[in-house]
Amino acid sequence: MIIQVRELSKHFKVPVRKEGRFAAVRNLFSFERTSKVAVDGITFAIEKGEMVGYVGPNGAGKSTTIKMLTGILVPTSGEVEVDGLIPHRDRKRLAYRIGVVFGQKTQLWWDVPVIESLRLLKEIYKIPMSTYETNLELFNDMLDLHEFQDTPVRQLSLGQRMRSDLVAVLLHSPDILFLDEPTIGVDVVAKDRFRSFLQQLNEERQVTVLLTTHDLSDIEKVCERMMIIDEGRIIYDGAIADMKERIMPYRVLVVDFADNVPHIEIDQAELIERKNRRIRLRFDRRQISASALITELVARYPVRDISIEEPEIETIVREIYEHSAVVERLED
Amino acid sequence: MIESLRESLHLYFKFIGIAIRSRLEYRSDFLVGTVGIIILNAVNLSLTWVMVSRFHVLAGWQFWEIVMLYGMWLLSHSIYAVFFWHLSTLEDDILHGRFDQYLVRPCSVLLQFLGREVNYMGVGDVFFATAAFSLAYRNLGLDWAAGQWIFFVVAVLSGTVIETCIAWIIGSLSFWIGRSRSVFWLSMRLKMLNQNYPIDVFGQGFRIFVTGFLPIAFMNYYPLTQLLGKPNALGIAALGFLSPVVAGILLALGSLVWRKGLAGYTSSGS
Amino acid sequence: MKVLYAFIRTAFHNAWIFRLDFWLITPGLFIMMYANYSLWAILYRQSPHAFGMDLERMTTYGVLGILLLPVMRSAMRIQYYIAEQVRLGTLELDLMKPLDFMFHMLSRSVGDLGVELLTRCVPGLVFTYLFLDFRPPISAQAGFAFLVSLALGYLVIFVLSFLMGMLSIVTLDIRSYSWAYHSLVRFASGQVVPLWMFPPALAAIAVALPFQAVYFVPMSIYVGAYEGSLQSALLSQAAWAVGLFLVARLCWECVQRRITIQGG
Repeated sequence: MIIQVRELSKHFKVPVRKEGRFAAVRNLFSFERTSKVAVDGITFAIEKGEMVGYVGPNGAGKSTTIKMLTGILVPTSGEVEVDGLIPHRDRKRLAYRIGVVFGQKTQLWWDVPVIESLRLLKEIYKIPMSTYETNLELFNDMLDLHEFQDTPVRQLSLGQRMRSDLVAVLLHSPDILFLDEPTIGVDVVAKDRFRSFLQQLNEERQVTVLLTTHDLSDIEKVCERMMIIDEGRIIYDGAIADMKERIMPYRVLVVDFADNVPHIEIDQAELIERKNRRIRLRFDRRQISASALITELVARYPVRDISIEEPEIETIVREIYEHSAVVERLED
Repeated sequence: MIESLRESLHLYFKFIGIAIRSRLEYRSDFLVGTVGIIILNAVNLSLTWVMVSRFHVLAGWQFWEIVMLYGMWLLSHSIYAVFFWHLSTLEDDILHGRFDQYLVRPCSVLLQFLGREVNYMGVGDVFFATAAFSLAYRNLGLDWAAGQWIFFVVAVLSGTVIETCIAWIIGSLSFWIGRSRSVFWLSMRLKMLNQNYPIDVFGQGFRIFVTGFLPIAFMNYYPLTQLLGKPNALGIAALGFLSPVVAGILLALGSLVWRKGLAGYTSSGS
Repeated sequence: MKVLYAFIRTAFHNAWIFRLDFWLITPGLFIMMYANYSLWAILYRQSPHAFGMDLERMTTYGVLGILLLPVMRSAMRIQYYIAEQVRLGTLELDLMKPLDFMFHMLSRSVGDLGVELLTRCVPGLVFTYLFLDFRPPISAQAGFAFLVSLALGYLVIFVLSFLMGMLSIVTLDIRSYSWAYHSLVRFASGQVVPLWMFPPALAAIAVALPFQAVYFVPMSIYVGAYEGSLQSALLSQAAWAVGLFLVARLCWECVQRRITIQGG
């Protein structure tokens, strides 16, 4: 296990905001604080080479977890171990082995060409020249860095900036990559590139990846495993494929009719939407197969066109939030 | 220890290299900024000139002595202004989580912060300070021996350390109290008074405050009383020599506060 | 009026976020008041009746300068507010609100003013009355004129700050201009050194600038040292206020057009 977390908790002291009459004035005189639990006794383990997605609503504790894993925050209680080191204690040693991308903020120097930032990072991380040159060449190929490496960062597009940040963070060949919302505001093409790059990286170098994002399709395409955190607790931890099966065995059939059909009734399928000549039927794959349902529909009604909708991962996740008493753990 | 110090310095110079190159991207600002600074200093000094020309002597200090007081302060300040001015924006870095970036690198957080920028503003200060000081020196008919010049240089450098450490400590306060702008504002206004007027011109409470509590009087006033052979406002002759000692104390205090603050940051987040 | 109330609430909330820092300013002001007080006390003990003033009135003048600082700063802050909005790129959001931008800024600063008056000026008055020998205005008429003059001075500094805010929309890095501007304000406003002490050449320059309308006029009215009639004082302030307001309005129209064309 390259990352181990046991009963990890983090409490913050936050100021108390009173409500009521003249609250604004009264608050000004009050210095009371109360304890807020950001992370509440979470436990998980990640193996070397795994690509894990870490998902949750805003304020759920994602960033706090990442900060504890990278040594930025000291946990209130519990244990955390990354690559054999305790992050907040061996911060500098760990820094050589991890790379962190904070989505909105670039870690490059704003007004100078990208390559200058990279040269400085080479000094900071004490990267030997041979490794530096090898990595640079590699990233030139994979991310087309040479297109803009002489441009100041402030003149780069968001996609180019993201690519530069990736290079910056991988220059010292870290074993573990933490990505915190790396693709915010990035266009579809760049996202695609980003995903294939991550996969390539994982294949060639077994880099372990922990990806935090609101874009669930990023996770679906890149990760095999997903953890969902809500209100400081992990409510799901398992393979994505299984998640679809267990939580959401439903599919939706979209049917277009040739004529108006006044009354539709199908066994084992639920009519969830009807608009003009299009209906949407929800069915449980465990009870009836898609082909059986289609056969029946075609036999009874003038069907013009049919398509099957996979449940969106967003729906699944929402489903999990709403039934967050479900805590699934799949052992490897 | 020596090895890591050398490493740190080497890294610091690399940081500064990029900082300077960043600044050069905004070349026009340099000119405007330098002119602006010269205006600022001229205006500062002219207020004092108004006062002195009307009152002739301010508590036993005549005009050129006061100009020298200002010039000496400005020399110390200019070094601070070039290399460490962004300490006054430390609270912004802390509050906006820029420290996360520093913490994730295998390098001292302080080093990364200090190496973050240089400011050209101090350059204008140096010009003005040298001019003001030279004029005062000539008009006072001074002729210092080597020993006095050495004392002067030590005093100016101590002054830089004092101002830097004060900014450092006040900035670090934001680890605990969020914004520390109020304290910065106060120290800035007191500095303005201290650079313009000898502390003889203020009441006893003020003198004690800027000697023992916020020791900015050691930046220019006390060493200058020694150099000019004047009695100082608190009547303790030894104070004239204490600038380097005060600088040392503040350095120790600063590093203590910083370390405590950083440890607190990592345990409570932004 | 509801708008104003909303801005006062906002001002309180902003203060609340960094409460300790907020409260620390008050003792800081006390220290500055004491410093100013002792400066003039010592100087006037050395040269009594200089410029036809006496010690008590001079120390009152000095302390008044600090008391008025938070008042005027509430107006000056819109310069930084606008600059910050420009930097963050969120100026358009303010423009889209169904509120005249200048009025919006004025409400903002008056909201701030309310908070400052309560938390700085009131305790400041108590402190300076108890410990720094603060005197009342020399006559009821002067007192009344002082209040009017204060309001006018506030308007002047408001419009000036608004203009500086416009400048920050047009240029990128305003820091260098800002310092030169603020040092000029400090010099010519009479806040620390009253204008009647200026040598004639400098006094002529200072009088020609609007900054003296902010501090010097109300302060000198208060201590009864304004040369000339009270009416002419108030009139000159009003002239500055109106004139600068028109300039600001014009600038705003131009800048507004520029923003909507260029998109910020």
